[in-house]
Amino acid sequence: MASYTRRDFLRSSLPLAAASVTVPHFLSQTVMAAPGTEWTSSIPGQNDHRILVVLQLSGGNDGLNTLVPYEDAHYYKLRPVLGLQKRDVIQVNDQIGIHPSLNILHDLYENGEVSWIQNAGYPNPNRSHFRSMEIWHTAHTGQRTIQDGWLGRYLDASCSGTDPCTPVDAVTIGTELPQALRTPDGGSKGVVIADPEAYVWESSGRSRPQNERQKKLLIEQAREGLLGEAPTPRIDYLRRTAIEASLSAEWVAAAVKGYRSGVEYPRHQLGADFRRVGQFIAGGLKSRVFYIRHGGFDTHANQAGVHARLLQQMSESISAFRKDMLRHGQWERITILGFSEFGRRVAENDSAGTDHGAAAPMFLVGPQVKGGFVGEPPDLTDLLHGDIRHTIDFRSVYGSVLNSWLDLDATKVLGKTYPSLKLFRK
Amino acid sequence: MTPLSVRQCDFKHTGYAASEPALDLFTPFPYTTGTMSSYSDRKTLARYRPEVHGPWHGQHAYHLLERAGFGGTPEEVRMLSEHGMDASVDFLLRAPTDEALSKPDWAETWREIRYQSTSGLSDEEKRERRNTRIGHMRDLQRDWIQRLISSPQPFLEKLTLFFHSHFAVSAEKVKDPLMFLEHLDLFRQMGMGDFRELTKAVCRNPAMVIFLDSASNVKGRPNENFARELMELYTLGEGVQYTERDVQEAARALTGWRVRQYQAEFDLSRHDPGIKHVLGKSGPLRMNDVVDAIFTRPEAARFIAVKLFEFFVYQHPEKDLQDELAIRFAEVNFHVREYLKLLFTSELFYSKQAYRTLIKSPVQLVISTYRKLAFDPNPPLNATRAALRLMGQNLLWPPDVDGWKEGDVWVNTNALMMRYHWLHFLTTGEVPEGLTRAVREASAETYLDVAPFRVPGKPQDVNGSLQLAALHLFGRPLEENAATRLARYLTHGSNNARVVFDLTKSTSEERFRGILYLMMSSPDYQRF
Repeated sequence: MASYTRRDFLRSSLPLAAASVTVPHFLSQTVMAAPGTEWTSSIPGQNDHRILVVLQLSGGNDGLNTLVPYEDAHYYKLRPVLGLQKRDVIQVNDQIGIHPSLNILHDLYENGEVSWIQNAGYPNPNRSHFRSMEIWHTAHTGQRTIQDGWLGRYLDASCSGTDPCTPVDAVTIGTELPQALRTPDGGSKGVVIADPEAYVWESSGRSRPQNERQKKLLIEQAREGLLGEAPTPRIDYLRRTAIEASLSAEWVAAAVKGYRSGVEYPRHQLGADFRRVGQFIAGGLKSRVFYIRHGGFDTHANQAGVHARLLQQMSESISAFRKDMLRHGQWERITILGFSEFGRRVAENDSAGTDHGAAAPMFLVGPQVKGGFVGEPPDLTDLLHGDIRHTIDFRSVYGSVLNSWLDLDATKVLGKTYPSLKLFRK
Repeated sequence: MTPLSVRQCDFKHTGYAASEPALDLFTPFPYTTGTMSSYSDRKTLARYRPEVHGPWHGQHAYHLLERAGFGGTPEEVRMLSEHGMDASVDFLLRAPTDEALSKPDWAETWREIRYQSTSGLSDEEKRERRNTRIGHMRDLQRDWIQRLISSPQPFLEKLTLFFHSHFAVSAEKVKDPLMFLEHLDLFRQMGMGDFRELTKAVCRNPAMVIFLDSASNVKGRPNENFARELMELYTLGEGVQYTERDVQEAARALTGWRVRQYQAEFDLSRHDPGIKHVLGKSGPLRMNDVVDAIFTRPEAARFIAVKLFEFFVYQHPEKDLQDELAIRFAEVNFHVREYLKLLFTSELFYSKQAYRTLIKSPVQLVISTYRKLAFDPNPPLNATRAALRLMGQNLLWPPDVDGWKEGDVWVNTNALMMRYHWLHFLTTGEVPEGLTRAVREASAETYLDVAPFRVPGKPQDVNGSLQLAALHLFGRPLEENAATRLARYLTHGSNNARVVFDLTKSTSEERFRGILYLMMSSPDYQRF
């Protein structure tokens, strides 16, 4: 298995990016920050970066049919069609049953590797997909003045002179950069990759030297511009993205080449996405954050089948990923954080579906998580406009992940201190 | 003066008959005067006045054609600049012609087929019917791409694209291609007019009724989906001036709509006739009453006025300016064309704040490239379709109910790679590996002609050719150092020895394609 350190990365690409006399601002903050000599010495502990895999369930996951209060009569009264029967759920205790499609994930729970955080949310819940997603990504509920994300701020704060940021610190699988990875300077952290095989810059020259020179020109024109325009934040953003794309492509290609999976991943989009994360980690890509989206949870009509399928996909993908990472000796470094922008209305609608709701469960999966349940089951007799009230602020969960897993003072990222939760073993 | 025309279905390189001295085209572009300046710190929609702000010249025309359309050849730009601002704006924003609304051949045959019952059909025939339907959805996508590239009314298509994203409906859920075509035609027919009327028409458009589950919104058990998006995404903006209660009450007022036989119909027996209270209006409200109630709110003018401004002028307009935009939009009675005329003739539109500050969407990138280069009359439509999807803008399949977001989000490392692959294919005719899985239609005949970049009589003029390329792609010349770098690639062999550049020779042509590929891959080409 090939392992590519930051040092290798910089050795191959830095001379090109550094050739400029005027170092653009954005480069001086990233790979350019450290003096060149630092990069020739070994950097202890580089292989041990802990990894956070964020799994976003887009559309609003029905938390009440994920963790089912199967002894609560109110549940069946409000969910005459969609309510899951006691005999069908996986009973974890005398109150809570887990959706049967999560049986594979539940094996990990039995192993102590899954924590469920119940009724996570925030005050004055917003029922717009877009606004609520924005709140989860920015970790700010007030006015929409803050547009940068909690993971972008985390990476900003965790990079330092001896451990500077690289373009692949965060890898988003898919086609869109999540707002969570936006940074306060108007930029963003990390790269976006849909298909590693297509993630390569192909020159059009007829000879090796021609191709080399094209590549050099590509970076030079990204650095200097073609038209003599004065840089603006937007121009900087485009230039930086172009440079990061060129630089990261080689590294990604090398990591992908070094990967052999002995594990069969399920054949759907989410399975493929987890496989890619596995590929990057096992291939030695030095990333701290991976971001995956699992869409389709906006179940306004005919929810039962769709919801079961989505949970099933999630469950089997996580399980395959874990097996793969165990084989590669990487599982110890990994925690998965799962969330959705909101839960769904407690009462089902007339279309055998559910409308937008409020609080819902989050979950953590990994060898270092404490396991079990955090918080109480929802009180269905005390609803807020028909929705479940939140009892745990989602930022408490972020805070615990930051403090206990990513070893960073969470207040630097969240702006204030939220009640801490014990979510990890240590 | 040459009569105004933009791509009258004539794809030939209008400006570059070999006998013409192409470099003379530089003359009508006084870009030596520098970039457009910020005329005032006061952000208002004051009219652009040549006597104060300077002559409205080629660069202004270039900017207008990029924004109100998808750019064009230097010759098209020159024509606009000769006619001046008002004539150009009137010309680009002219009302749709019959041709712009003509239906493709497949539409009529499919209209007949879709009403035929499937009950007597064998499984094989049912499958065939389904494949025909899916095939026509692809036809619709291809037709639109062709129209975007070649329509003499590019503004109409651009506005249609704006509304396709604003009132986003996806073929994922609306599977009938003719219904989808009629949905888009609604924007072509009504998009330039009163936005309030368009909103009402969209509400009862079968594609929208299906897309937002209106059929399941019935008396007694309202489904809030449509009511919420109507306020949040189409008219007022998230959480602005409406409450959850307004959404719930509006949902009741919107009950009773469904689609039967491909038409939207109102079924009184499924409608909730009770008294509702929506945004301060009370009574046995129905759909039109809800829309009327929404448009009595000042925010309704602001939301769409600002969104149009951000799409056509620049993002994040200042607070004071937003106020003015809302007032102006209300003054012209929500008339989209009148409002956009105000924008396109304002000093602000021609200021530094607007000039080259937007990020190209994939459609803008691809379509404007075809138009600037007066590309082949038969562009590779399947490849274009696939490439747009990979870049993140699969026409007819917007990502969600909020459509495509504009701005920085268009560009990330993955999207950029896909842009590179597409440009590689376009400039060389070769399909790069990164694209092979999506694009199988590739032929050497479809690739770019380098003839427009040959300086007539002087095929060895490296700098002339480079500046001609810049004129096409940016409407302004290359900075000196950049030109020197690129010229070096064209004039030096692999051992760094000087080679003769001659754009009539295939080796130079090949290298020049490489340079076009690079120029279009630059961060500078991703803005407009």
